[in-house]
Amino acid sequence: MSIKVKLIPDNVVVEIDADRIRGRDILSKLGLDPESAVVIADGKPIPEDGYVGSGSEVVVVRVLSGG
Amino acid sequence: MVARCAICGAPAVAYVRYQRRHLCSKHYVEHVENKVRRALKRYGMVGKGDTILVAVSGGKDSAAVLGALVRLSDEFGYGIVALHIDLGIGEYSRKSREAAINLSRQLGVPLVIVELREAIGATIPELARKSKRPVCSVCGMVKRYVTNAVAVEIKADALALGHNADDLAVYNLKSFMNQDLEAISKLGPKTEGIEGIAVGRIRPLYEVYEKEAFLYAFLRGLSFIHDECPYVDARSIERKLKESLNAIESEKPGVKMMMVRGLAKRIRDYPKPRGGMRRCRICGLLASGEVCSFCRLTSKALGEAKGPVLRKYVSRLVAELNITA
Repeated sequence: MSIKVKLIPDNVVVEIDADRIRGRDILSKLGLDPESAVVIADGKPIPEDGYVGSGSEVVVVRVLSGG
Repeated sequence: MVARCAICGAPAVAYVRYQRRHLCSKHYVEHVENKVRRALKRYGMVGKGDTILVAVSGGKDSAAVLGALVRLSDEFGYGIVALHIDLGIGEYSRKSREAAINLSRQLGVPLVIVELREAIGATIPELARKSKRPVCSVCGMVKRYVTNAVAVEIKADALALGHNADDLAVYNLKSFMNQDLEAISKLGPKTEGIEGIAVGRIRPLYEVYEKEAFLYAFLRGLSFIHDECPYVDARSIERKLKESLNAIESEKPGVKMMMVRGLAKRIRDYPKPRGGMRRCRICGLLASGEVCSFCRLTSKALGEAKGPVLRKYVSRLVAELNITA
């Protein structure tokens, strides 16, 4: 099963092959650091050690602004 | 198995690494507000009866700073007026303006909107093109000028900016890499004003991490946009420094906090820019030479120094809106 992750503000959708995955590992697969991005599952932020299942709507927000 | 809030046991929304604890939505919001409260106190940013002008861009940092300041206003006894500058950068400016309007409405704060095209007959991109200067440099200078002009007009006691700990740590590093020590002298939590010429600036998010500012605005349901200005260079050195610093922070939690606190403590040891502070011969506001950079730039780009025009526009706007904090 796969988990669809929408990346903001880039507005791209990435598919991750997993049934269940930790927030930190989603970020790691996207090349992001937990200090620079937030995982939001079904509208609620989750801590980096929180889990996301394949039914969830996942959004990852890159919080760093340019300059 | 979901992590629980260290304070109340409710489901956690975030892990605060440098405190080694999980927090739920309610206590995370309080955590950020406590940091703003401590910064207001520790750095003497506000006083009872003060009027604070808050610059609102439409982004997450200004949503966080306005949201937190409104929450703390009764406790400290200050009043708030918000300011949004419509820079005329296409769709980005349209969305930013809408977010700023929604935010002020949510929080019940009076909002002054300065539309640059209306005020001086040119947008930021046009000004940059006509003056043959880089867009970001022109934009920064114009924003500083306009925010100051409005603050002086409403006789604000302080102008609040949304710079967060990540921003300040990185500006500090970047300036240090060039040994531009005068630039570092401007990165303190609070700067002094000069009566009638410039209003002092405060940075209430001084000790709030960028991610914390985002989460605060998000958890409180505050209106803001994610979009970045189309002129932002995604490969800029500031962005690279932020990423590197966050990689270090992940391994050594608290590094950013130490950097900003240390900077605040030693800020007076940095040399101030030469040139001193004077009154612009044309518009009467802060200048480092005879004529301020805004009057100089608009003179060159538009054939007329627009300082007085801008000040008149602001004066009319403020009178029409019947602005009181």
